Amino acid sequence: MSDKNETMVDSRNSEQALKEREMLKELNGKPWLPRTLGYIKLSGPGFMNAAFTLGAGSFASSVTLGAAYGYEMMWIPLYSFAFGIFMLALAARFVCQGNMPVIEAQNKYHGRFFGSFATGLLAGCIASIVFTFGQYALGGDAIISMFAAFGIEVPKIVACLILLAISVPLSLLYGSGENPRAVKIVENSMKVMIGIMLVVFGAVIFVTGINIPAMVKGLLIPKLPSGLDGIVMLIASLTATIGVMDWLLFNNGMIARGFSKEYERLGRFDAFFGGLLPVTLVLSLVSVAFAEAFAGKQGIPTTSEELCAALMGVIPSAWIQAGFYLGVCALVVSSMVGLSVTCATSFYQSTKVPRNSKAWYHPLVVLAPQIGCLGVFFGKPVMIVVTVAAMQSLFNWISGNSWYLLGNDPRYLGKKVVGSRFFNLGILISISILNIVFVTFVMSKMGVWPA
Amino acid sequence: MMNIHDFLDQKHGLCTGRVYMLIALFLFNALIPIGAVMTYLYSMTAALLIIGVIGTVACWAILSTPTKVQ
Repeated sequence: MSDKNETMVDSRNSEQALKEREMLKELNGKPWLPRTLGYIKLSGPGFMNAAFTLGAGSFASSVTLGAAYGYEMMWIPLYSFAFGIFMLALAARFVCQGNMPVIEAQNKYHGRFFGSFATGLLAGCIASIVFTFGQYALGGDAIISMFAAFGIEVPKIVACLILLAISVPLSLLYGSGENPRAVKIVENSMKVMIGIMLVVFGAVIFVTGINIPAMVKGLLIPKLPSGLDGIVMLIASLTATIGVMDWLLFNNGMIARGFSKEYERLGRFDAFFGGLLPVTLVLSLVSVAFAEAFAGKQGIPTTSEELCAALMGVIPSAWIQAGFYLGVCALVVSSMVGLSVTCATSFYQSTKVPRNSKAWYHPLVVLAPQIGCLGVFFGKPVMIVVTVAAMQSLFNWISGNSWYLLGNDPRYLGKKVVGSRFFNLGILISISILNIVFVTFVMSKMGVWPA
Repeated sequence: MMNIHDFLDQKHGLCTGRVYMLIALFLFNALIPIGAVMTYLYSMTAALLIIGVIGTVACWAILSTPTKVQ
């Protein structure tokens, strides 16, 4: 048995996992309401995933879509995550029913190019490092603007240190998921951060106002944006909301918690309740705020400074302004932690380096994405984030196809292969979205659209 | 006569039927944005777009067949 398999077995046999398993066996036999309440208590990887998804990329996409198209494009994060949820359910199947981590299974059955290289090192580690720059850029500007609301000038270096002081300890605490108790603490911190986002962005909506019929229509009825800018924004939004990094984080979060075959139902519940709901709610609130603030106006915020300043004209209270910036900080810090976790867990799964939390290299692996703190000092990072989100699509479709094949491979899942046509169809629609996003991205780079 | 399960899950040459169908799905998916650009931006024929959509749906129908476990 490999090191990685031992890791899976270890986390499944931890004291906390054994206790939770007993609780879960009891819960699975209970009626709907007590079962749901129990599931909420045991949930966690879904919230980690939501906190990670809600970052600078998805925020910038929601802001620009809200500012440019009003309520019309609110369907994008909802539909994107709703189809992505089939991939999260597949990740739950892999963790709960599989006998090895998914990257190792990809290596074994499809080759190291699909597993270690495309899924682990490129989509997991390198993308984590690149994306962290955008988080720090937006977070730095949010902190500077938050203090500026009270007339206090804060240098960029101080903003950078504040962000590091929150995200580094949480990232190290989670590490690569060695300690289930520490994992649970970080998961609870993520729940708190999502709560902060909901409260503060809800307060902003209270000030800007909301058109509920337009919001319901925008959420449920898809409408395509027009023009090249609209298409590029659509690609960025689709990939910023859910992609292979989200699947990996959810997958590895379940491994860290010691999920085993009794947990699959909880995993699917967690993907919906902890993932889809908070992501849709927070991004909808952001889109609505900017749709209301920018209704009938020209110009869309494109830099993180402009993003931070965009709403200030319609928010008269300094405290609500500070609250908005606090929400942005919660959004980026939770993503920074998620990126560090994704980087570390993917790195250990993709390489032969032993996962040892006491080794000298462990903090370097966990904190590698924190080099992105340099992003605080960059000028126009929002478009970099959008561009990198679009580039991510290059690797998403490779991993998506490989995961579909594993889901239907009895060598990996035995009798627990995907048994339903509906489940397979959901996975295939996700893959088709990734394929189309990839081709559209290539076409946009080839200059297919007229100027 | 070979049924759909046999086709999808048995090796034909280098790969299983599912892999060939995934490649077909990718090609049909690629036709959708290419066809859309030709139709809506350059006012050319919609044939590629239609082939892309029909092919995609056909691939979904075939690939969604679950693996038959003995």
